[in-house]
Amino acid sequence: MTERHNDSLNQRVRRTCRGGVLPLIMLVATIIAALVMVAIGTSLLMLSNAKLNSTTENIGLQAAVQLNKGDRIGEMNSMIERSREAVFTSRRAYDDIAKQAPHVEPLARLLLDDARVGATRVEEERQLLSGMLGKELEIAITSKVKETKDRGPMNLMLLTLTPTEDTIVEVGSLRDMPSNATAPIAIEQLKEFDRGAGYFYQKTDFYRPEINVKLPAPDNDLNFVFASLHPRIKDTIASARLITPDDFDGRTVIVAPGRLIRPRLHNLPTAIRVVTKTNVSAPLNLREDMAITTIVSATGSEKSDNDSD
Amino acid sequence: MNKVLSPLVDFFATGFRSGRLACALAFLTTAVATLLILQLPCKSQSLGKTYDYLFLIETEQVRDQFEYKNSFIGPVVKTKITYSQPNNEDAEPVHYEDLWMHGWNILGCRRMHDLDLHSGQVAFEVRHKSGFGSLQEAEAAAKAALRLFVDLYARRQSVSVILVPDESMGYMLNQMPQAGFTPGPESAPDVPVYSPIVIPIRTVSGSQKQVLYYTTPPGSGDDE
Repeated sequence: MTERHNDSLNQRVRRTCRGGVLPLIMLVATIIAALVMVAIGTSLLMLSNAKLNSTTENIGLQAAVQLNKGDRIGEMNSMIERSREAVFTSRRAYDDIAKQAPHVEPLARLLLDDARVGATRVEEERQLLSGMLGKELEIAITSKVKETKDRGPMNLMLLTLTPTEDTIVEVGSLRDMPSNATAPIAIEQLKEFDRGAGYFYQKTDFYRPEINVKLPAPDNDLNFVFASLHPRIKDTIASARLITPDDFDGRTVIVAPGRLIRPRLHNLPTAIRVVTKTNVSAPLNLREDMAITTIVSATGSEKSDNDSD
Repeated sequence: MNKVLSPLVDFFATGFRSGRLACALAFLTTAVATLLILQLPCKSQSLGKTYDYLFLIETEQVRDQFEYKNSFIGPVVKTKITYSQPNNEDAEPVHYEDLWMHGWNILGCRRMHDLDLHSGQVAFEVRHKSGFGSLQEAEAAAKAALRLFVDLYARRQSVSVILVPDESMGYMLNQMPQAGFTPGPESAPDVPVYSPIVIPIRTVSGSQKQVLYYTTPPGSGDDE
């Protein structure tokens, strides 16, 4: 009796053991399937993110290269420095002539006035160029975004990426970057004045950007503002590149979704932040807008201000 | 020189010996003419030897800068000013400054060196890098010459002559009255000159000679 009881107990245990495997396998398979799904989903999201990043970076970098095409920002900075020197040297010549040869004073005054008018023209040119660059950027980036949108949605297995035209473009400058304009070479008096006024970037001979680098009185009514731009160091020219948000000093939004912005740029832009939006849709009617941000800086200056030719 | 002459002399002797006198004489004439031309100093050399300091004002049209629509300052002409001492072979030419002009208007200056001159006679020579001077380059050269004149005058030095390319003479003379320099013919020695500054200006070829008489520039308020 006892033996029979033990046999039936053993059989029940065995049966129980056999019967418990199937749910366990199903459970494990479900977990594995879920993990695989999550992995695929994550990799797809990462893939789509990488793809969108690459598209946005491409748009930003192309715009950054365009920004300092032909070293126009570098040339503008150099011209601003030369304009300061022209006014300073003309003022000095005028003062000397007024003391020593008053009969030539009208000629020296004419040359001084001419240099001052030149400085005003250079400042007007800087503002014209700032506006022009803003407009060029707006057109270049919005047309690129539109081009991407017109190519239609991208399919990545289960995900569909639909680019939108909702774009934000902000321009500004590079933080902790001097201008490419350098101190006067042979006018020690002006160089000393500039150093005393703190116009030079740290201990270099490059001027600080985005401040009004005024001349000594009475020519302190004229405005001279440099843009930050990577200077050429020996033979190395900085290429347009991606920068971190910490290095970007955003100033003006020139493109915003749903709004027509035609801002007046007061400074020459040398860095751009581009934010593009893409609609990511998955099965089961899952939808999400993915914003991709890229920040780029313009190509550095091609010439050194100390080049004699 | 002997190396240059000996083939000519040999050729002449052969021609003479072979009886082709006319041919030989023609070569002789050519050789003498060539020698004379080689011996003649060029204009700038002869000018340099006459003056203690020769300032070279060289203009060049700057390409691809500020050439966009509605630009206030383009096209730009760059003017490089160097000075040398033609009578002092040891003295290196000095790069004094570069100027950037938009026609008659000065935009910028990059001074490379101080004016470190002793007393002596000074001449200016204008050159155009392209070989021919446009109106803008002539305007830039005229303004550069005036700035340089004032810089020198403040150091009690005057200019003895301005030498300009033939094609730019008219353009430059037209600009000068804006700065108070009226061009006119050279006055006779016995005629008094009522001008505090008189600068002779002439072309490189010597075909034109004028004198710039300084009077107060128009609109300066000192006309009376």
